[in-house]
Parts: sequence; C-alpha cells; structure tokens
Amino acid sequence: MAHFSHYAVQEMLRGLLAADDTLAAKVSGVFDHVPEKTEYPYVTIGDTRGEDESTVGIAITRITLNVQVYSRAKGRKEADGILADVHRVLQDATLTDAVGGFALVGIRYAGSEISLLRDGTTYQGRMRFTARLQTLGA
Amino acid sequence: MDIHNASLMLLKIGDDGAPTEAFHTIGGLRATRVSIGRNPPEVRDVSGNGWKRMLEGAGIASLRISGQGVAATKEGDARLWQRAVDGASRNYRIHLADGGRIDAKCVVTGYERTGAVEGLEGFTLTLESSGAVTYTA
Repeated sequence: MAHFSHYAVQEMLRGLLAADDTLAAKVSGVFDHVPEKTEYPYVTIGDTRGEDESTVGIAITRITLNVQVYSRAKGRKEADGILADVHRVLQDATLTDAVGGFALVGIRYAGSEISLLRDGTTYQGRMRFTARLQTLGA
Repeated sequence: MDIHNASLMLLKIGDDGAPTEAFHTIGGLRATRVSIGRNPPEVRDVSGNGWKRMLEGAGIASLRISGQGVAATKEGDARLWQRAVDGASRNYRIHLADGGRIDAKCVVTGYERTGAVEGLEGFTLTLESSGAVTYTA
C-alpha cells in the first residue's frame, strides 16, 4: 500500500490552479517555493496535514490544505478577488486522472481569512480546504 | 496471549455460485460487530429460593452481524441493496482476526445509506442469522 504523499496532493492542486486562465491573468504564478523577485500578487500552496481514514480494503486520507495569496495592492480587494478565484477552481473540483497514485475523492472549502502582514504593505489571504484522497491499487 | 488487529476481521458475502460459492470481502467497512443472542426460558419454582434460573440448553439462539462503513463499490452496494429488498437468506462468512471463521445463512434486516455533506457517503448493515451457525477455530 503506497504511502500517502503530501507532495502529490500539492502538485495536484497546484496544477488545477495553474491551469485556470482567469486566475493566471491575475497573478504572476502558483508556487510551492516562491522564486526570488517574483512579482506580486502570487499564490502559494501552503501547509498540508493528512489524517488516516482508511477502511477495510480502501486506503483513504483526509487532507487539510492551505492556499495563500500575497498581494501588495492598496487594500484587501485584490487579495479577496484572487481568493474568490481559488475558491471557484478548487471547491468541488474533480480530477478524472489519478495523480501520483492517488485519486481525488472530493474537496471542499473549509474557511478563509485576509490579514495585513507586519511589513504594513503585504496582504496575505489564506484559504483552507478539506480533501479526501484514495490510494489507488491499495 | 495474542492480540489482533481489528482490520483483519473481514465480513464476506457469498456470490450464490454453484457448485462452489465464492466469498467476497465487503469493502469500506470501518466497524464490524458479531453477536450471539439467546433467550432461554426462565424457571421459576421454589427451589430457586427467589432467584431466577435459566432452563439449560433451551431457548432460541441467533447470530447478529452489524457493520458500518464507507460506500465503496457499486457492485457490492447493489448486491447488498438487492438482498435487503428480496429478504432471502444467503451465505455470509466472517473471518475473525485470530484465524477463526463463522459461517451463517443470514437475512439482511437493515441496510442504510448515509451522507453528511462534508463527509463520505456511508452505509450501515445489519444481518440476522437464519438457521444454524458454524464456528471454525
């Protein structure tokens, strides 16, 4: 039985976000590691947490994952608009192809917030999702 | 003294095949329970000195199996649904984690599909034995 992979999930979601044209037009990219001199605004895939929900014969992991938006526009409007796109892309997203040996069973929005970071100029929007993955071939 | 992982406890459903019936594990179960019940007649006479006694070896015994889990396979779920509807007694088998095995003809007396919007679609299952139950250590 394959071990659950945080990286596979992260890449699965990063792929979904990066493939959306509306979101791509608003941000400089969707990153795991943000390259130096990346222009604002951008989206990062944040911390993930996996918990086992396996049953007889089926390996299931519940994942809580965070997506962050960084914006240096004046006010929260830009960060909020990008979060709305993240929500549109990921809420109830489906993947027909399995990624990295896992199938996405379902993904749901769990909460979000926007705050001004201590530098006084960068807004950080955070959005949490809960997803369930099934390990294939287990 | 050996202890065993409960994930080794498997509930299997017979496929009605002839001459050899195959048993398939019911996938998606999170919890499985097997219980034997018996209702022996009570003996009430003066020799009991006011204490209830049971008539030994008498009464009706039955096996009850219940399970709860995640709806996982269309084929398996359809089979359980069909058996719940037709009410016929069919063969089921339970592999216990210690290597023991229970075989019983059972009727599906309860089958429930459950869904909470933030979770996975689930099911609960109740089986009641019809006829003799065999235990193989």
